[in-house]
Amino acid sequence: MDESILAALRSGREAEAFDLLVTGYRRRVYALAYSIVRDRQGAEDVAQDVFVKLWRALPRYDGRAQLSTWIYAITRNTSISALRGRRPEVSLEDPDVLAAAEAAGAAAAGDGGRRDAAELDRTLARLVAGLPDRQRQVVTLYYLEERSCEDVAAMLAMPVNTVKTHLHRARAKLAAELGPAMAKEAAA
Amino acid sequence: MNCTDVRNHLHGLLPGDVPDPAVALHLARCAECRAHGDALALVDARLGAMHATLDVPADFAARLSARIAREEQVRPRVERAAVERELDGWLARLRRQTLVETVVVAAGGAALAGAAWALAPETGAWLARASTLEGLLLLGGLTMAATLAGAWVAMGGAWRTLLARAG
Repeated sequence: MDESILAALRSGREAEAFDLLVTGYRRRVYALAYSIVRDRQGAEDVAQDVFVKLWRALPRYDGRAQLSTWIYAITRNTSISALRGRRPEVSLEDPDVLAAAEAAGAAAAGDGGRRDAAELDRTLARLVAGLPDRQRQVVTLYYLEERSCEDVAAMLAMPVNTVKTHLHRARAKLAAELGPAMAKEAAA
Repeated sequence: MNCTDVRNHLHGLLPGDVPDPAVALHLARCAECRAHGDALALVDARLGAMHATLDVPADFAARLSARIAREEQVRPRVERAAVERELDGWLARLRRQTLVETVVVAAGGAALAGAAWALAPETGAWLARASTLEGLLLLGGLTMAATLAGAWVAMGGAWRTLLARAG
């Protein structure tokens, strides 16, 4: 994909290069932004800002930095700036994840198990939201990006082994807390 | 293999990985570790399902195109890139100019000191002494003055370019 974008750029077909770039990277840019800002609308705003920046900067892209590295760096910086601007409003319980949890739980369970599945997913979303930032970002991107540690490492600019360590710790923590949390909710 | 080893091994397994046979044997005998393994599998399954519903909005590309079209009307990208290139050029020229001025002032100072030493030994002796602290201060001052003058000229040029583009 990057080769097609670069080829279009080198031959002066910037509009085509930009279309390819949007098509190829929009999901990853959105996912990375989402893992940092933690809500869908915020992630979409960041993704739009990122692509506008890319549109402006594309004529000056000289190919020295890898395209994905450049795009992910812009996305991380834009997400962090967006987060700084509105940090007091960010809730630990992202309503979008909770809504997604409800939908996924309902889809997964029959009518009888619907409430239990929704509660399970709500609990899990709350536990994920309570993870340290890096672990939460790794977990979010890992499950959004089809479970590829290599992709997550590239997006967060960290070694693959560090991604695996964060994932390892996060999964251990989630599994350890999921049982007691469910028992507590069942008793309530 | 004790329970701690088994759980550490399970945490390191990514979905789809096959556990070590010794771990599988332990899981068959230990209900607590088996429950923990089940909880991990549940975490993987539910997080995968939850995140599958998160995707880029369908109208993302259309809204992006509309926004870019609006921004292009206000300040076309080509014009913006041209101004940026112009400014980059001015900065590069300013850096080159500063370097040349430093070299010229240093060479001039050295030549002046050498000439004075040859023509008037007393003045030359003073310059030789001054070549330590006072010489450095003098050189620094002259370089700074020349750089400021160069920067003034360069910024004036950049400003005129910006005004011309804006107009």
